[in-house]
Amino acid sequence: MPSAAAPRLPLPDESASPPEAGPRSDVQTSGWKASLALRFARQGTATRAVERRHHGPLRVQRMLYPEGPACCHALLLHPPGGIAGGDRLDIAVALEEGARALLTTPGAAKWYRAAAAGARQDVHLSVADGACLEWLPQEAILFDGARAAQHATIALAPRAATFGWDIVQLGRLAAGEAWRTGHWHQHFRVTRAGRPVWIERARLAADDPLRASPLGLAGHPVFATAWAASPALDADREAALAAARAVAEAHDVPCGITWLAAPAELLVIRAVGEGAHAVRALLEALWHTLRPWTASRAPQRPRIWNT
Amino acid sequence: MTTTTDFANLPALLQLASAALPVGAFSHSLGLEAALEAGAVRDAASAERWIADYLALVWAEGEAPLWRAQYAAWGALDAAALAGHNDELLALRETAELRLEGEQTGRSLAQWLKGLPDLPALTAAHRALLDALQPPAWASVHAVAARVLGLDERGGLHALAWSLAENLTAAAIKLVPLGQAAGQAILRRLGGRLPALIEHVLATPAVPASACNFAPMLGILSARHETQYTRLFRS
Repeated sequence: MPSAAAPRLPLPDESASPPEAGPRSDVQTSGWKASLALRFARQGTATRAVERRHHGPLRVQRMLYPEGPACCHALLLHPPGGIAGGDRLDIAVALEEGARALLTTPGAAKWYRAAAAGARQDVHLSVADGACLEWLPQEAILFDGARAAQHATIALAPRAATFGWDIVQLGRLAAGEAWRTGHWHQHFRVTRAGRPVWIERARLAADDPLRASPLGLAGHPVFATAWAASPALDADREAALAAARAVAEAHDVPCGITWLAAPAELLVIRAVGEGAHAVRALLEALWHTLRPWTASRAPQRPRIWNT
Repeated sequence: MTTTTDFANLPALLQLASAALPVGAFSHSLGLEAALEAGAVRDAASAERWIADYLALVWAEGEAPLWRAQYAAWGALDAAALAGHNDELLALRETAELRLEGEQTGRSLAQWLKGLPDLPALTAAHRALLDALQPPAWASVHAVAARVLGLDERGGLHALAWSLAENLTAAAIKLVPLGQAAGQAILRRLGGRLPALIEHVLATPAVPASACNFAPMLGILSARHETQYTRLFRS
């Protein structure tokens, strides 16, 4: 047991309003502020982006309808290619009643080494009754020295449908670089009618005992959370849970899946691994398996993932 | 109401910390049984590591600051704060079984508290606020119990941490299995670390933003326990 260390203080407000700038290297001291707000609505049989605002280097690269007009696939792009110290990214996505959207990113989110100020990303997702949001960003990679804060709120209406994931890799494993210094802060919150029903709060330092602890990461550099909810999933949760667990058993990745009853009515998947690829493959398989319940349709893999 | 932990009030602390408290804690291992199944716990040393990490990295960083926030809210009879912190406590439990444990022991502790005689400090206002928490989280109820029993924060946290350490050690004795002497040795060492741990909790701001619950393997193992074939414990 670690002795009484310095108390972990509440998350500081790491907001900043830095200027915009040109292309960057992987070490940068000044921060950029970028935001993107999207609102999707159902118009007849189609889902349309009725609001699309961006500020700074964060935008939607394109909207595609590979599954027909009912479901919009949007690709979120952060042109600088990485998040540096002092950066602040705000992403807000709202789905109105009956809208369906799938959002992903063209590549991993790279959190660069931060000289002093940390970087922060805020994601706010809200899903109305009868709407379906699939939130499938590629993994976040923390470079050595990264000081990252991720805040995410997922506000679900009682009859909302959603599937999403969050994958974090500590260190540039492909380059043989471990994550030796820095911190990773997270505040992840799922709410139902404004009431929190699932919270994860983390303040992980690079030398944190949780990285080695058998209750923490047990030495794994990659960890992921996925969540699923929908009225169909709630009605058929035993079958959905059994199907998801059968998929997890077939993968050689430590994974646990649980169903949280009302007021949460939420399926939660946790996994850890030695590399992001294997964890991603597991979550993709689970997304495929659960999609008939969460999105009432067979999965269609975003083509950008093949590039 | 006195709020010192002196000998005059020691029986109240011992009763609250006792393994005989009828809250069903003995039927929960808080992931320890699943850790054995997965091989993460195999023997006395790994069982002690698991319990020590649970206390220091999970409890002290997670529910303990919220217990303090609830202790303050009970002092102010602040209904909104009590409800908000109670929601946080429930939502921080990341699996069905960990939630079940927190809710079932919370309900049982509330029943126990409301049934105690000679407890004028538990007023009608406390009872009404307790009944308004649906369901009452373990730490929410434990905080009001400590307060109306006249324990200060340090005393209440000691009672809570000791009962956790003792319950998890008893689970390890059954599960690993361990001899009684080995179990007592673990408890002796865990107990020796509690004062420093509780000072750490008392130095942490008593607000929800302090409460961290990042423990992915605990969540994974707890979720896997739901379908574990052979099990003695409910969590």
